[in-house]
Amino acid sequence: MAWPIEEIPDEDSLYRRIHRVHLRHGDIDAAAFTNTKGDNRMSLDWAKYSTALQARDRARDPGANAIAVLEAGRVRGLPGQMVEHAPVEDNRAHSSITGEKTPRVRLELKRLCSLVIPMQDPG
Amino acid sequence: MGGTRQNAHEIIDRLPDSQITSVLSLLERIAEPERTLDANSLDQGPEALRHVCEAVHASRVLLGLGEGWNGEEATAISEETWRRATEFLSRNAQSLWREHGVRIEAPRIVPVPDGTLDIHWKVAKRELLVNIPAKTGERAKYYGDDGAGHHVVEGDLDTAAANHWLLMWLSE
Repeated sequence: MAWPIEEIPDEDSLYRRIHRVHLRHGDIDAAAFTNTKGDNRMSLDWAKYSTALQARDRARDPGANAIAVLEAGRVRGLPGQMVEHAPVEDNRAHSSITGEKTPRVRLELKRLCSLVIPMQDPG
Repeated sequence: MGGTRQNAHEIIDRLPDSQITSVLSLLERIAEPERTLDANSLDQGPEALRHVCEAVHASRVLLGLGEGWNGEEATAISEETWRRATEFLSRNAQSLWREHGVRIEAPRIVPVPDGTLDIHWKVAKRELLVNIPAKTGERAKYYGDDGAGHHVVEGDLDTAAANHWLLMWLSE
């Protein structure tokens, strides 16, 4: 089934998985905000169709991931970044932040986000 | 020979933690001289740069991250990229100390899923992110500000050139 593509309102939340390598004492590294390999966009889940827990459990190893939340409108305020709903067959919540992830953009994304599900067993 | 090795272990076991790093550095230099060039130069430097030296040594663990280290499609960190990052850090920290008497904080050296390395400083009035590329010859990109988007520095640089001005900015 093909899900319709919707407009994500500025005030809506997006969940981003953060691997434990990129967490230190609850602080998130800017390295956690990079585009998917070979692509110009970074994946997230739209809170309209996913809980934070569901977003974490989509990871290959959920126990190795925390979940951070970002507000769509604030991400759109970053240089060269677009927030788009990009549903896939098994995940209606799937969304993207498209645009080059320069050091500035990654540092700003790190500052805009906050953890909603911490690591269960911090490394 | 076996007894000599055992004696060495016993002596190391008796050392206080504060001396372990220095001894480890020395042993690494003897065992793998070609892999410790960057750290060597810092080891021979002043006590003021010890924390940077320790950050460099600690970051070697990143070379053990294989393909897919983030549970997805992350690229492994190559020895060449690590060496480029740590040499950039070591050389400029030393230059800043030697020429200006300024001691920088130890950064966090972080693997990026695309195989590059981030060098990240967050100090009282400044935050700086330098991304060391995985491709040979590609310039490193950097961005820094005061945490509120002011006093911005942004651009790219040749990691082999003298860049301690950037670390000087960090310490302002």
